[in-house]
Amino acid sequence: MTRRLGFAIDTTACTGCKACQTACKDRHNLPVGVLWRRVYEVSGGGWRRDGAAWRHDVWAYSLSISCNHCDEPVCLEVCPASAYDRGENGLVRHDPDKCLGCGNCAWACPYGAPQLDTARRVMTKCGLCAEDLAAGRPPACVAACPLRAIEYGDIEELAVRFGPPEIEPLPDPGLTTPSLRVRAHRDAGRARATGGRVRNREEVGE
Amino acid sequence: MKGDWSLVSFTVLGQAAVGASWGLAASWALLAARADREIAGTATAWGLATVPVLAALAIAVSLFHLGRPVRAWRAVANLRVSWLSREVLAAGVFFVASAAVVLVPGPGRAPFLALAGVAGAVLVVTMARTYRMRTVPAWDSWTTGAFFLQSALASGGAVTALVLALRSPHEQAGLAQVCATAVGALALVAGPLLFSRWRRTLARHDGAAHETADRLSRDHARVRARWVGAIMAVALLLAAPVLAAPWRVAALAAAVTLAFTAELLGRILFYRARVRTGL
Repeated sequence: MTRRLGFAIDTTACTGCKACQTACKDRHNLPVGVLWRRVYEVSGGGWRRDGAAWRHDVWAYSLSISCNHCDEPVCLEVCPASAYDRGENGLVRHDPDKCLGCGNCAWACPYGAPQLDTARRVMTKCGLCAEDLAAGRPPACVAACPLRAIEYGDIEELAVRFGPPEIEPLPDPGLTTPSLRVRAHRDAGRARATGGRVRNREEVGE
Repeated sequence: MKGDWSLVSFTVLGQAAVGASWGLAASWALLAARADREIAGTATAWGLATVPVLAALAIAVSLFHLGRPVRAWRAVANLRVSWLSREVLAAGVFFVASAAVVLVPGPGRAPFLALAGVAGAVLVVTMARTYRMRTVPAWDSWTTGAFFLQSALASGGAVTALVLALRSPHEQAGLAQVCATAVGALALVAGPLLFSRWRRTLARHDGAAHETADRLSRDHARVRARWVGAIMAVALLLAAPVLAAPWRVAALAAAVTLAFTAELLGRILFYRARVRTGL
């Protein structure tokens, strides 16, 4: 059976330090405004009355997301220029030399993975550091995480230790079948029930 | 909305060209059957010449949203799976067929008229499929296709009515003009009504669809302006037949302008509904 590589994110360990985001940007020399890996800060809650007292139930967690090399990649379906293809180990690759810069992939991807390089005027995205993998090194984001909150590997093996990617603000995994597993933060259920919000959309360039 | 103006213009102009080609082809066929082919040719010649011009303008303006317009030829490289590739091909075939209608004289133009009509229908369908992304709930419904068809009929009806008034002194053109006016007027009113229904449907859902409804309900100015434009265009279309000749043409020209404006406003609202599910 063919291996399908993907990421696993441990949101119980992630502190939102953004070392992964920075390491990715540094490794691929990404221009200002382009973040192949982004750390979203999700929070909610507030003050609530409990009898005569007021208590707060504020909660927050961080979620690091890049391209999830989906099994049903919508970017590949909508790209008119055939700039996307499936590579070895199920990786979704993007060839900037074929890209028109139409942005259709960016509209379609529910993870915000394809990003416009405004200087080159083409889309770019995470390739799971395929050159590093070939050289026997881990992806830059995985290597940089001080808390080992990001892992990579065969998605079936990761599925043994991590759950499905059903955590706010991620979309229904049935849409694109992402190669992503998540260990859910203890407040993930509250986020789903009360509608947690991403607080740093501007910071991650949305 | 950054960069969206070129796609707003491309879709509205492209659909207007398709609608005009349908209206003028139908008028040509009607006149050829009721009068003769010469009268049919004279009455529709000027209008048929505007169709490839509109199509060319639409295609040209669409290049402005590309980061790399010089690679635009690659847009047909993924016909196997991408609806956008198919849309680009359909736009090209429609342009060539509608240009052939103008260039080929006499009876030889009939097959090209039919080809342009079919290619136009394919263009509207592929446009709708392109926008029906499963990750954009507001667009992923039958209403996207209905909006595009309605826009083609509204603009096309108005343009056909104007063309027939300009170049057709023949009585036989009366029926074609009545049909074009009726189709244009109905489609113009259907646009804002369909939009209201769409917005109410989105509001009943949660997540991205609900956020879309919120966003659209805050855009009162454009929604009202579209209603005003559509109603004024319909009033002018309906009033034109009872006016004296020079005033009739002026009224129809104003109706076409207002119809285009109403459709542009509707399309801007459609693009504002691009709220993706997820991140």
